[in-house]
Amino acid sequence: MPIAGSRAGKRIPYLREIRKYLFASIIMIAATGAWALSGEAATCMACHAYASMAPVVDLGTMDASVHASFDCTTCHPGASKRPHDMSTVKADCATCHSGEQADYAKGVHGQATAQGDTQAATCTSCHGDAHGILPSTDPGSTVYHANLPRTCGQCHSKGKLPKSTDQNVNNAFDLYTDSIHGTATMKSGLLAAANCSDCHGSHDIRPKSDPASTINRANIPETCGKCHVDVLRDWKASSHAQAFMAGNDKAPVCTDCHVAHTVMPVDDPRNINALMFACSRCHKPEFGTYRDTFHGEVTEIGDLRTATCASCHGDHLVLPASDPRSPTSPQRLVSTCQKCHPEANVSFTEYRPHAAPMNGKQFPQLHAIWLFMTTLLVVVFSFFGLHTLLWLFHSLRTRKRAGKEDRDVR
Amino acid sequence: MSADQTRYFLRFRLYHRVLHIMVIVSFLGLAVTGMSLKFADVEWARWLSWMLGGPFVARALHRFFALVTFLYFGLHLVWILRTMVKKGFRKTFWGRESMMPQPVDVVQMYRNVKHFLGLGPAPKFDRFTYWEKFDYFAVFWGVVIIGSTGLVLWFPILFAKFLPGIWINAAIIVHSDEALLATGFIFTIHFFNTHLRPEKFPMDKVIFTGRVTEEELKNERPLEYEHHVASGDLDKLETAEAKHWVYTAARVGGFIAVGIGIVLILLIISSLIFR
Repeated sequence: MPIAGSRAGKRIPYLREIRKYLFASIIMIAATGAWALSGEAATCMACHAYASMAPVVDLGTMDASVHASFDCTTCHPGASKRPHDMSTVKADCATCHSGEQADYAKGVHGQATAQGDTQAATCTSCHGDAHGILPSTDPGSTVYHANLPRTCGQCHSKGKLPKSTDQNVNNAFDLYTDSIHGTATMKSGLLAAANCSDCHGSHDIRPKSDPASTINRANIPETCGKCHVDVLRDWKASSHAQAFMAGNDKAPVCTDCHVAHTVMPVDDPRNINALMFACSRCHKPEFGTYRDTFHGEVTEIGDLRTATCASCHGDHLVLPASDPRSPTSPQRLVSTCQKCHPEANVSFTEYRPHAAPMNGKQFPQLHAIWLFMTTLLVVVFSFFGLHTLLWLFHSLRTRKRAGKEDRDVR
Repeated sequence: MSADQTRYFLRFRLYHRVLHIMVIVSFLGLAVTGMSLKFADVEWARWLSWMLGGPFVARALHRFFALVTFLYFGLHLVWILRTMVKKGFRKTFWGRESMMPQPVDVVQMYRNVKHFLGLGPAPKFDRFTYWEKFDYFAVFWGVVIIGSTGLVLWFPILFAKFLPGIWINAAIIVHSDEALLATGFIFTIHFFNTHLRPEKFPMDKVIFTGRVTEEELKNERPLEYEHHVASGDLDKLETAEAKHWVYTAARVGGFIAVGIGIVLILLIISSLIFR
């Protein structure tokens, strides 16, 4: 039909319009009568069931949608006037959803739209076809808990957004898919597992630089703590949290150790490594001395079946050894070692897992031993190194001379 | 030279040859497995560790070779005991047949260095030279020190029952540094002194064949030769030439062992310099 119409339009310029209006007038006359009997929708459908009268509305989807009980003119008040004025007929969700609209206007998507970015997400970008909008609790909804990541991923996955954007924003869906949150939500359908909006909010999505953002550093603990209640409680009691509350910018919040989109299960080897490196960013000397121990060397080789930072220091409730609640406190150290070394005793715990033999002030005895061994090595290698070199040169010289004499004789 | 004219004399008995093969195998085994852990911060060591089956398999192998070490050390002590019974205490720990460093060794070392510098004739060596005695004690004390600290690291909880925990830290330093000394010494100094120096290059097979020719004995250990000539028991030392397969095995085994040692020491040195 449209193809035939457009071809006809080339020959007789107004044929398409004439046909359209003739057809519409007949339908409208008939529909006006029908309206009294079967309601407003039937009237609209007299035109909007046909491709020539776009937009086509599928009453089937409409009837299944959350807005099924509404008349067309609830959303399209301008449509009661016929023929419609296209500028007034457009639906405005804010008529009812004024709160969501206000939130949206404050968020990154709303701000971008207001600045004229036509690519930025609007209501239907996330909620799908306007006439088929389902409640978010419906498994068919684009914003259903388990479906939301894919919906956001329409834009936030590799190659969809302009390249200049932060990779964490750009590739969010790809990063999230394999994370523990992503697999739980999308593969297992766990409605308790975090999806995009659990951390970022839905309509009022703000950049992390915004102090009011749910993912602003200052708000991260509470955002994660919505689900991880016990973790938040432990962290709040830790020395990390105390430093954080005291205004220390370097004190770690959740995302300093757990990478937001790619957050992994605790026993994933990649995670164990990532967590160690997270500790090492601030505790560099301690990480260095750890790497000198058997535990540290084995994990460096890549076998993670041995102690890492958290094995001894705990995870969220990190406390100094001076605090009796700390697993490295004298009160608890034996039981901490006993987790892996069941027969550990007090004397065993006097082993220094962060010894630095080169530091004479902190470890005078070990330093003395280290100094003795180093001296021994230097003396032995210098003496025999020299001895060997003298021997080598002597032998080469002797052989050269002997070879010369051989030739002279011949 | 033709075989029927050459006279061969026994230098090392089968017992000592077997013990030295045990030393070679266990020492290389300990060095390879140990260094794969000690240099965990360098790529080759991590690769090596996984080639061995991962750090825990490497640890099991390390302990196996430690047991071989304790075994040969025990067998050696048995031999010292046997010597004490047969020759008496004095001849075991002093004199020309003893491994004990003596004043004559200091004199010979001084003369040998002078000789290297072209300032005098080569000293006349006896059954064991001063550098061979140093090699011997390097291994003897090496086993005692690395072995004892290794046991502390193998059974830390047992040792912590009567030693303070800081001793475990001390054991790590001593074990690791002494291992560096031992491997560094064997793979450079010992290899050069016995195998790689121009007179012996590429290797001296006597530790596998146990035999030296009359010429070698006369030139390298004139005092020993003269001693046997004077006492008239040179004939008692005479023996047949080693079998052909022994030479072949010595060449193959020796090259493999020296090769592993040299590769390992090059990796160690480069890691110490560049890490």
